[in-house]
Amino acid sequence: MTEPLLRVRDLKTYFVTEQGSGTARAVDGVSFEVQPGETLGIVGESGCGKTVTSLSILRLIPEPPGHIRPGSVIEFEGRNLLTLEPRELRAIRGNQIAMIFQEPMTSLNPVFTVGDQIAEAAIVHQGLSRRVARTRAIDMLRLVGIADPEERVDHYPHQMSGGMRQRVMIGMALVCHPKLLIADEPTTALDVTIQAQILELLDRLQAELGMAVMLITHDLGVVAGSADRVAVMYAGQVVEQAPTAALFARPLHPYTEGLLASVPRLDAPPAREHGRLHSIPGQVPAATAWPDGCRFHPRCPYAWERCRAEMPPLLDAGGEGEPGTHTVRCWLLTEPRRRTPHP
Amino acid sequence: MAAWLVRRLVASIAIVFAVVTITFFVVRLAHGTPCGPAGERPLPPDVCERQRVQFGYDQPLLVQYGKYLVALRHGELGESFGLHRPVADALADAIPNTFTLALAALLVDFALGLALGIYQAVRAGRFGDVAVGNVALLVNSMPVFWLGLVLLLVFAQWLRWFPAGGIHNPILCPRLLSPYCLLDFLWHLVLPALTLGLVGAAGTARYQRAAMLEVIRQEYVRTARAKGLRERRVLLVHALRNALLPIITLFGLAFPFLFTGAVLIETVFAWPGMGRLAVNAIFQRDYPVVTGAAVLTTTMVVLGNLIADVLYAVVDPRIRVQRGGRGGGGGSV
Ligand SMILES: Nc1ncnc2c1ncn2[C@@H]1O[C@H](COP(=O)(O)OP(=O)(O)OP(=O)(O)O)[C@@H](O)[C@H]1O
Ligand SMILES: [Mg+2]
Repeated sequence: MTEPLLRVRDLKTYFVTEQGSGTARAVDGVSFEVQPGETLGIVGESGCGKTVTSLSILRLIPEPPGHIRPGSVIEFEGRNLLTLEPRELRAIRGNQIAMIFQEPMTSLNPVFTVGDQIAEAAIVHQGLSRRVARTRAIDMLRLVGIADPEERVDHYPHQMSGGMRQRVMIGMALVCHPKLLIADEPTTALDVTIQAQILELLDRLQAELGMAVMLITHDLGVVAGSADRVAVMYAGQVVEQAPTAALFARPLHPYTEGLLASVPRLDAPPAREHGRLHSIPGQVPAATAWPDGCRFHPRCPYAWERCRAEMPPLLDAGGEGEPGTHTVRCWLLTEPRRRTPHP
Repeated sequence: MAAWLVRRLVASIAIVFAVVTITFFVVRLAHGTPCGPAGERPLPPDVCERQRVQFGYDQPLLVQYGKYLVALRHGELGESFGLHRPVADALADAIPNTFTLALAALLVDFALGLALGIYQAVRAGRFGDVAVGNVALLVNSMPVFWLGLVLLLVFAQWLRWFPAGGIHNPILCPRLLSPYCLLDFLWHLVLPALTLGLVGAAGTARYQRAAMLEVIRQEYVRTARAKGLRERRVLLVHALRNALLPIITLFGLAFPFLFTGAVLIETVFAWPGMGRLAVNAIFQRDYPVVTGAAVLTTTMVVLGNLIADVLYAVVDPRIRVQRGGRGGGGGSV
């Protein structure tokens, strides 16, 4: 295996909430790697810590109330981002690692033209002159498929539709040709048809620019089309990690099973509302009060005493590839016979 | 944008007109004759009558009003009872002084207010924020004239750093001509401008802090950080530009505050501006001057709000576009 581009190990990001409800352990021991050029999908229900994970990588967690616990490691090309000086960190943000956010409506600054906002990173990181940077901004607008880029470059965000703004966000993120793009639910706020276009655009740009992508979503359908590997998150932890094909063919964690069962299929009309998974009973617990033992056990059809008492570690599920290719945080791996639903 | 501006202008003129009318009649209802209420100024009846005719007070009220309006169109505000000169001339002498004072105070108000507000927002909840916030609250709750008296006492009386009042050294600088006299003028300006500015800044800082805190939480600020910008640029370019929008309204509101504040402060510091002119006129029942000062002050305030509105449109592209076309200017990152 090659040296990973990004290695996250035992990341813990906690929020100390003022209202006395205690510490929210939003991300609680997450580990994963991203190889150069690959797409890692990160999937999980709302509130499981996907956004906090991605913000932690660029150290964009608001402090206070949040903080990344000592002992966490986020290595990018071998350097621990958590110990970088502000200046070194800035040289990576927007340059080597770029990010796009869920809400294209609110992620662009309303008082500056999209051209200026795209050009800014190029001016800051590559020292381009304003004029050259403007040309670059026009090029980026063209690259992300916006018609009339020469005219659009002087427009303000409110003059554009949601899909166009997300294209602008992508152009802004890619202007310095980053090695890693973190896309946090880039299509959640968009219409279905626009969603497909944006995903297609990301795929095309990834191939053209050869970057790695961390694609965060709560929609396994999105991941199926674009990710090489998938990490499934639940309650601030990674509960299953596998190559996409293996995950879809052989989901091992009961939570993954549930997620897959709720993916709309062509032969069965979708029985789920946007973002809500009906086939898994119950709700994600609050980040301030994760259950003891396995965090999924209150919702798990197979749970037994051990699940309530002891948190399972990430276990190797075997399968194809080298050890550690497919890992699952579930005691069922030690007692496969129990995989029969309770009556 | 042009049509909108015309509409705003017409509305402004209407407001000024309404205030002229109200002031005119209210002052007349207060027995505004050269003789004043009976018994207060013992003038012989024949002198009194002669003056009434001379100033046109013997005519019907509506005729007087009509004449006042006609004269106003030529910039005339009538004749002062006590100063023995046209009201317009007296005001013309006073306006520049008040204007300079208000402008200097405005500068202190916003420069200090914005800086403190931003500082507080960045340190929200920490010692610096709380300390500045408490001091600002204290200053903001002081009466302007009282703060003026305290500053006078400390800096003029005890420390003798600044003069105790007036606008310039009457012996060396009867007129502003030499560089020395300009310095002398500025030296006289410091305390009154600081008094007025400090009280304003305390309020401005509160607004700026709130506006900035609101903006700092926005996602586009996070986007700016994710780009790898310096924190200073994130705050002073991406956040501040948005946080200034609500502050511009405050800018419009600052004008009335500065003018009313100037009335008190000019009296405390013997500053020969409109405020002092108006206060003296009220005490001497010099009604044409009172009316004239009120009309002028209103005009200034309305003008201030108009400027604030135009500024708003310049800073916020959403408004600019709404109001027809991406009119000139516009910002860049
Ligand atoms: N600024 C914050 N202050 C306090 N708690 C926070 C903060 N940000 C996140 N959290 C906590 O972290 C948890 C995980 O949030 P996160 O935004 O990462 O979820 P997510 O997986 O991205 O969900 P979604 O699909 O809704 O975007 C939340 O449940 C919340 O309790
Ligand atoms: Mg999220």
